[in-house]
Amino acid sequence: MIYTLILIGFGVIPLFVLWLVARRWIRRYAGVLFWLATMIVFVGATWESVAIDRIWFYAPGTVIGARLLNIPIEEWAYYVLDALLVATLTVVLMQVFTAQGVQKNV
Amino acid sequence: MFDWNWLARLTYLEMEVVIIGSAFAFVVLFHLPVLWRHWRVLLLATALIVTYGSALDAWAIRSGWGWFNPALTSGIWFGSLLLEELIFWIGTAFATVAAALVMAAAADRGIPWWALPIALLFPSWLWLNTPENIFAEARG
Repeated sequence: MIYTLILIGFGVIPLFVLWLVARRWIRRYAGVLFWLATMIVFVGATWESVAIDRIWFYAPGTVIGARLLNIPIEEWAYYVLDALLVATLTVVLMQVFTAQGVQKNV
Repeated sequence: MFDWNWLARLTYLEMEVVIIGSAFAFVVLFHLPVLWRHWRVLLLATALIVTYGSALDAWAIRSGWGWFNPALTSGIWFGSLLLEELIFWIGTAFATVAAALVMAAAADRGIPWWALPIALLFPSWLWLNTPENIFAEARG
């Protein structure tokens, strides 16, 4: 259960704040967010299916217990949240730096 | 007698070399012009994600919420952070930020949203040098 709380506290809430701040850019780059999430789900699930319960393990009680393709559902949520956070941060920084560059050139 | 067991301890590192290494080589070889143009965003976003992710990772290990198989990992720790996990955060952060940058640059170029993964698969000089009206026709 702790994994779910961490995902909410350190994934959902920061993402929500970033999306509130940068609504216009998120709409403009929605395709980037969608495709990055799709790719990370695909790569992450492939990677994890090889490694989970062999290379790394979750303590009992850390995850709810429900699994899809032997991967805890929290991990699926992590792939999507991670991709959305990374893409959002990238887009926001890109716009900030671009705006700074424009201001310098004016 | 040679002890082969230590080779097994490179398993996680080998996985990272194959997966992260190929993603890294691909984005750098195919999209260097875009990455170079946005190098400050690439470095800053990667640094922020590595700091955030590895701190959470170390916290989770310290708290006993998960663990790594010592027979398949290097055993090199930086505090509560395993060497492979540090490489994981640096490599995946770089590759995902790079992919986001390339697709965002492609979107700015006028490439329709459904074709963004195609733009990622082709060298960026191809679509950076393609007249924009061609993409406008594709967008309808």
